[in-house]
Amino acid sequence: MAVFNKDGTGFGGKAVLLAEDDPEVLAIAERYGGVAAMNEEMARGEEAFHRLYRELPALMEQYPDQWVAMGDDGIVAVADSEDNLLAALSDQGLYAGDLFIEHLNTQPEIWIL
Amino acid sequence: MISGEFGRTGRPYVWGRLELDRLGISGRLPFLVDTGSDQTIIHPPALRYLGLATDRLANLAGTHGVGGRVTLFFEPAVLNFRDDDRSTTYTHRLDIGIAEPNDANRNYPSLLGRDILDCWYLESDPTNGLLQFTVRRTA
Repeated sequence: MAVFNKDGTGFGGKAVLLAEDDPEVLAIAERYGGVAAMNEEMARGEEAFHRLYRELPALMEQYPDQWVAMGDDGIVAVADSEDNLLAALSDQGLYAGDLFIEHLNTQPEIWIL
Repeated sequence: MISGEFGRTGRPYVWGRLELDRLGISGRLPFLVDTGSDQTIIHPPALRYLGLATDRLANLAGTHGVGGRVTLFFEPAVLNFRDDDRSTTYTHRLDIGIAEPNDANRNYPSLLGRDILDCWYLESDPTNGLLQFTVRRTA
């Protein structure tokens, strides 16, 4: 995917890696309760991400063609559509942006991106 | 080392924690690792999960993808990635692309593009389930 500004010129900006003691990093960490708390949140996210992939074969068998949401302690919702999954999460007061959501599609689409 | 995963169809994924300060939005986001994408792009599924409406966005740009031309907004963002070996977090500041939803991209994954990948050493061995990244430098 190539990116252009409206005048047709390339966008192309690179990401900047911030130092651990950069004020911007510390300000973000403060929202989590400090650097240690932010690292704990990252560790929890890491575990949930890998857990979803570890458990995918079993989930595929248990919930074929369903939608699932993985949280810190495992699957928190299962539904037959994305809309119903998001509604179930909302009913539980859960924020979908903090979960890993997967469609256990038995006939996945082919993507050419 | 940042560890990724291969999905059921072999697609390579890594996750990051996104912070969109101006919009007061943050969350965990899986990204398809896409060395062919110039920029990191958030696609519509993530917009739905994060609760992000594109009418809050400005800074319009156009893109050419394999599937055609799409509208993209750019937003200042921070992406955090977890290095398990060092028990540390790598924080990247970037202008992230946010794709306007359309019929074609409504189920597309978000893409981790070369604005970040050009700074990482990538090891990909699908035959052994190995997908890992080492942060080498800033741009």
